[in-house]
Amino acid sequence: MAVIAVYNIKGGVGKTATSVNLAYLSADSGNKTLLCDMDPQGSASYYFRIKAPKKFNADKLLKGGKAVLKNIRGTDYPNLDLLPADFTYRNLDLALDDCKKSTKRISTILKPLVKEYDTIFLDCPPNITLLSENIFKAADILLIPFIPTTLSLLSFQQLLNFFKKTGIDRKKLYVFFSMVEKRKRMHLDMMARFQGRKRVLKQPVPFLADVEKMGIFRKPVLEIAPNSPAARSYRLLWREVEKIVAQKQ
Amino acid sequence: MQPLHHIAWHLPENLDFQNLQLSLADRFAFKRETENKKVCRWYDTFDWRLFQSNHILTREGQDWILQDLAGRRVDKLRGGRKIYRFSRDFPQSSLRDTLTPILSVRALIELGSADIYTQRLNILNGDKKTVAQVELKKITPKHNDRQLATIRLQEVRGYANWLKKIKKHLLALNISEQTTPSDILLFIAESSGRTPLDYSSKYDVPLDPEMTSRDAAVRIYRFLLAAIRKNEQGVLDDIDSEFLHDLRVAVRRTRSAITLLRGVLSPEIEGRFKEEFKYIGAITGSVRDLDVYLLNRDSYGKKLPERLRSGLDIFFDDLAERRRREQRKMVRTMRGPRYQRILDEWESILSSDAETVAGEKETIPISELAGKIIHKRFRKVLRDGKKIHADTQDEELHRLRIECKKLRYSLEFFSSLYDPKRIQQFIRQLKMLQDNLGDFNDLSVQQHMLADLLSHIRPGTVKARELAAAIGGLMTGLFLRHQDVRTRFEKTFAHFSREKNLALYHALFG
Ligand SMILES: Nc1ncnc2c1ncn2[C@@H]1O[C@H](COP(=O)(O)OP(=O)(O)OP(=O)(O)O)[C@@H](O)[C@H]1O
Ligand SMILES: [Mg+2]
Repeated sequence: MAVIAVYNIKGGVGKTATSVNLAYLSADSGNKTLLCDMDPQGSASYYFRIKAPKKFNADKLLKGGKAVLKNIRGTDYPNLDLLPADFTYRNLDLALDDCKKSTKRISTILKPLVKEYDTIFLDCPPNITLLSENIFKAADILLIPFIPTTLSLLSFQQLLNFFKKTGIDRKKLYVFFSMVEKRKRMHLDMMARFQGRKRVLKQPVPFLADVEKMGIFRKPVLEIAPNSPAARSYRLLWREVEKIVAQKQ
Repeated sequence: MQPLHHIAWHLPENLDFQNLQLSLADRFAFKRETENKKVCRWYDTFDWRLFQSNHILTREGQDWILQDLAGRRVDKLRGGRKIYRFSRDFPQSSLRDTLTPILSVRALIELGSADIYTQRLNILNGDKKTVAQVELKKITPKHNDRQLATIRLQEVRGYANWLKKIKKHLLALNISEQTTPSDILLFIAESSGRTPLDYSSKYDVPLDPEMTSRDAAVRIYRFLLAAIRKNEQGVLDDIDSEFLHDLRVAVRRTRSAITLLRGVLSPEIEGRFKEEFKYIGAITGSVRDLDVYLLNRDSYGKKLPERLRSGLDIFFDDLAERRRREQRKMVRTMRGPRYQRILDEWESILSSDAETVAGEKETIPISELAGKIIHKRFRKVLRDGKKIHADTQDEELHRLRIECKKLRYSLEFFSSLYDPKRIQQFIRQLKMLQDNLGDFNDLSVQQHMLADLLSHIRPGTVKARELAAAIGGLMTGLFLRHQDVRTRFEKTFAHFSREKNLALYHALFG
């Protein structure tokens, strides 16, 4: 059993693409898997053609228990369920602030789900907020898609500082290279600097047009083009993540 | 979390897949998945152990699938190319762990097979998201031209309202007769001439108190003869050790019934068939003895250190080889004229109403005769049991075990004539005594086997010495347990013959 949050302070780094494809692979290898779409934009839900039920909203999420279970939807793929995001999630921070134990709320909400699923993925919105702090605490593994640029390095430093300040276990952090472009000098240099470090995964996900097709077909890239280089890199990435999950147990 | 709903119906004969899809298309958008065709095989033990424990086991290619009778998936295993017969043949897996206690020593046999054509339809909403699944199946058994068509509806989590809509649509098409995988199992079994629970090793012959002794006897003998016949093929094909075991139990019961019911048939017939059934017991005895040894193989292996096990293997491989020879010999004998003639003639005697077959007691009501028989057996057990004390020869205990068995058989034969609750209670009491005597016998058989094994070890090597020492250890263990069971006999017998049990006996049999 593992809760894997895919997170980065920066937007547009491939968090959703990663959550969707890794959740698909987790389910495909026989784990009962739940993908929680935590982003009010609801991109993950969109890729699975799932709309949040009309009665579902941020308050229902924070209530937890049955209110959450009732709103889980089966995807088109065996073993894979999704908790859709609602637009009201954009106010989650304020609502969380009103809760008791405001940084542990998401952990509490996940508790009954942990009994039902082998793996839970959280697709997170960017920025450091009360919601992200909640997620850092709830997750066993924090998977950071990292575009190998100097700018990313700065924001990663920011994240480490936040962890230090709040005293959250930094051993949860795992970084992998996302949207890598081999033609870019800077990408290669940056990767060379980090390659081989502890908690930096070996398998990068290159920048590939097939991943973008997910928006058109509204399917994981593993369904659209199962033999493509994009599918292959997600598969190898999942194999690495799987090993980390196994070690944590 | 709520489990997902699914429901399946028989498809009426006048509704083919084409028409059904056309009708669904009027109301719903759906995507057809590629159809598939495969061969499915159904398995169970001869005595339906899987069915009895609410399981259905099928194999499609190398995939073994275990479901419950309602169609919930219990387990799945991608197996090898080999066909597994015993649970121990399966690769290490949760499926094997589930099967092991259910199958125990019994082998899986194929109940039948069928071609299965499957067409899946994914029902889509406006976003082209799958919101329910419809599965159409056409099942065509081998060796049978009848077909079965089913439609199964599967909920997708969170879209229960769609399930309702589709259900309503199907009902309007006159699809209303629900089905479960157990219906399909029935259908498949039937097409190869079997019905679930058509065989059980349990003795079950109800009698009427008013019946004449002859009618009752014939009913008992017929049931036992049928049991012999049902197990014959499995013995000849050597499917598992239980066929022979059950066949021999039926033979032993028949012999016992002939003795207990002496005078119901003519003396010539009784005398002759006592001998004939003894002959069947004799020709099947050595294979059974070897089976008993071989069934212990795994448990002995586990008791020895790993590196000494090869020493055991030589012994058991040798036994297995001997068993193969004995089995071949037994099959030849059973296919020979005498064995077949015995059963054929016994059958014709049981269906004859000729006077020449009758004995002097044939018209006595069975309730009267039964009471006398049970009294006699019970008194004998009490008398013999009381005589046993600390230094009685083991031989006497073995004799008492046989006497108890006769009493047990007579109780079983006539149990339907008495108050069911009380007789079960009394049988339970007797069973405790029998268990003690049975353990005693078992432990001495095992000691004999180990002594036999010891004499087969070629001395000389270090390994042989170690093996001999290890077996010595096992023998000591068995000896101590044997002693322990022996000392517990007196307590067990006292319990059996205590006042309360005697009162129960008298309340039952007067
Ligand atoms: N490996 C990749 N190669 C090419 N395009 C990618 C790759 N990964 C993601 N994309 C595309 O980049 C865009 C942003 O990706 P994605 O939505 O996964 O990022 P995100 O971090 O979740 O963004 P946000 O912060 O907005 O939630 C999407 O259009 C996606 O299709
Ligand atoms: Mg996103």
